[in-house]
Amino acid sequence: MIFARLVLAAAGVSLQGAPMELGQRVSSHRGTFGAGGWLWYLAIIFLLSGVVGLVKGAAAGDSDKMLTGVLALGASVVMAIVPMLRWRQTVDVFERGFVWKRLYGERQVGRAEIRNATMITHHSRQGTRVEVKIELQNGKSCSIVGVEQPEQLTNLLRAAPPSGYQTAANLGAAAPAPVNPQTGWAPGGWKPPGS
Amino acid sequence: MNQIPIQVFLFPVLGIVAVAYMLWSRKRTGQAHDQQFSSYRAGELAQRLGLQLIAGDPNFNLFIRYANVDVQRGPSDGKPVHIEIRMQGAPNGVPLELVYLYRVERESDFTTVTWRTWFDCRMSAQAARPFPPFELISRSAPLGPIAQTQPLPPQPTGNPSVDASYLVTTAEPGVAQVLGQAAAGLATFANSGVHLVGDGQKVSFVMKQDKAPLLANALYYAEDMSQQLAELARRLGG
Repeated sequence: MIFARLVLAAAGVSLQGAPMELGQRVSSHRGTFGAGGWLWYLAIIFLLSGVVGLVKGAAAGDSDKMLTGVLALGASVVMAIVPMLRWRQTVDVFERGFVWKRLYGERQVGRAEIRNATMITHHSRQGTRVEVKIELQNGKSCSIVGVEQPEQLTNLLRAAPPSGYQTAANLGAAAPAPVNPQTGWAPGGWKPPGS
Repeated sequence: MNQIPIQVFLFPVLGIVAVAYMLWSRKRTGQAHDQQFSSYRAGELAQRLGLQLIAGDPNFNLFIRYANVDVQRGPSDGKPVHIEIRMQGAPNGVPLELVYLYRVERESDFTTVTWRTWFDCRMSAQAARPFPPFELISRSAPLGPIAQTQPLPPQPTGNPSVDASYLVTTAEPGVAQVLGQAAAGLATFANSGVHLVGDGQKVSFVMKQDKAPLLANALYYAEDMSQQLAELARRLGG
């Protein structure tokens, strides 16, 4: 079942519909291939080494070489896990929360659950990676690494929800929306002053 | 044995002279640029805009940041760089404010050095009455896309040429229409990019030091910016 989910997710097939309760989609951030960094390089080296080892071992009938090739292929798969997870992820920000889709499932977080979001740029000998760290009200946190436009993602997650604000689409009912005492106008019915 | 090669003395002296020259040269370049772009100094900028400098050093140059002694020295552990400029007034009959904040903290331990950076530069006009929040962003700006700051859905303005140039996000179609009419006045800022943020009380032009909308390009037209913001604040908030 998990394997099937991974295959479907890797192929970009969504397992769940759009979360209506989060409102309209505001922004979408896909994972980048480059976020894997030097791990891609290691994965490719191990992959080539594995293929060469297997081919040479099979041609020569050398089981030791073939075993080394299989081990190298296994190492290649292990090395590719982190870059693959970073690459095949999507963060969709909605008016009232966000959905983080990864290869092994998705996580939905409401805006009220978010305490703070911070963009952290890590510089090291292995390169630079940008992390968006989201602190939740329950004391836990989640870390998103390697998505497009991390600054915008941080801004949108950190932003306070518009106070007392509901869009006409969210109300659902056909009846005219009441005037919000906090804003002074009905959702979807604002008019410029003097008009 | 007694003869020490001359290089033993010469090379360190040359090294010290080279380092001293580089430091002097950097300082001189900073001073020259500060002089060349003196219209970006806080004091002169306040005068240009008809505002009063409330906080900050009047000689701080918003464009040539590195001309400032504290910025040149950089932060050290427990000693951050903190620059804050605030100027206020009502030159166009609408309360206007220009805020600049640059703060860098540094913390180091055995294995890591952590830098925390805050930057904010915005000119804001206060509206008389609350209005629905919005954001207006240039779709194509120099130095990459402009990051949104408010979780609001995209809204067409009813003006196809404005929709082609700008992304307008708001929950209220009425606000998008007002922005569609007002966006013609933003053409001046095409070479810097435009980022307008309406938080429900104020309309702000948000600028960045090294990304779009570039502070230097945008503040070149600071007077025009203050007029556009005042006009928009009037249209939205009466």
